[in-house]
Amino acid sequence: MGHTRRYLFFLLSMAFFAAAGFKTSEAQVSFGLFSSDTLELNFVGIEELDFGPRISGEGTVSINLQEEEGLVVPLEIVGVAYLDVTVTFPPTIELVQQDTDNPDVMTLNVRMAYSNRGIEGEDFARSAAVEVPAGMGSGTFQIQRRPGGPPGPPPTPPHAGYTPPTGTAYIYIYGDLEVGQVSAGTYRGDIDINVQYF
Amino acid sequence: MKTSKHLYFLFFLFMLLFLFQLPGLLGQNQNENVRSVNISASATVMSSNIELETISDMGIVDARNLQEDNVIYINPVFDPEAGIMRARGNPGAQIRVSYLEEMEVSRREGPGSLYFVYEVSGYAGNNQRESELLDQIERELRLNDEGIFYFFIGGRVDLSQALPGNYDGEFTIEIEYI
Repeated sequence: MGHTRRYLFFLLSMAFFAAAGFKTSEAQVSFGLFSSDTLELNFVGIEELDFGPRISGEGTVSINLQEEEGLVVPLEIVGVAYLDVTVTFPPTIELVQQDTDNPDVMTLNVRMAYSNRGIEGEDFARSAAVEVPAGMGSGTFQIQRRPGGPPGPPPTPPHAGYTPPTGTAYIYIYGDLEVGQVSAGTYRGDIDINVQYF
Repeated sequence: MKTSKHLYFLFFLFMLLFLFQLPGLLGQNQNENVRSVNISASATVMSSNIELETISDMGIVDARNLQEDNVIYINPVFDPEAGIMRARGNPGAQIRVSYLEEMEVSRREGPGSLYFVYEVSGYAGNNQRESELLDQIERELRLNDEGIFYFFIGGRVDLSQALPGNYDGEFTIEIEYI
């Protein structure tokens, strides 16, 4: 390649890289989207769902949200009180038999309930929890539910030096396990819970 | 040439900048807005049945070279010709095992039979050398943490009175929870 050509090649590639770099540093500006530094999702109780010993062919094991604490995972969502959040989760997961080349599987229908009345403590908040219908796989709600009545004045817009008030909502993960005629052994699966501002 | 060296350097620098921006270019910014947790779900299934399956049959045909005085002997612990069976049930459960030691093996072509005397060893895992003869185990037998127990089946057959032909036989073993 001649001198000029090589020069041109480098110039063009540098231009490309520079342009690419600058493009991403623009970023997308989403008006009304809060910095998610304010959003938290934390365990506040048991962190696993262990359905314990079950008998093959038992049928569907349904967990009652209000009565069976040992089989409900409570989580807290902390964020800007007047904002909506969307919680997504898989409507069903498979519990797969471990330590075998020919695993049996059981289906777990994942349920979610949320409590956003501003009640403190997941145990107290549970009695006011709203169950999301089975099979939905997501729920959207305000972190702190506006009490009934005419809407108040619009919230103070975010600006430098102002931190909007935060609130805590609780969500509860539980489910219905279908125990079919499966072979004996240990079964395991994973449930991913995601939360973001709506 | 000096110009070239500078060019190379600048080129390299810009490439680095580009690489750092790559995650952004690939649109991974969106994940920063999501908070996630992972919940592990588990269950232990118990069965009233103990499943028993044959992993491999006893290789009598291959055991011809084990003959001594017309007696074929397959040692369940040491001989690769031993048959292998696997029981599956509730993890850690205690089991009682019994088997028919002597079985009549019939000749396909007509009258004439042999007597096979079985010798069985067992181990809570797939390890023939570690297995112990069931007759000699004093302590309890237990399925392992995955609910598994292996049986290795050998035995002895006297061929001195045997008529030539094909012989078919069975092995019967009974396993139950205690």
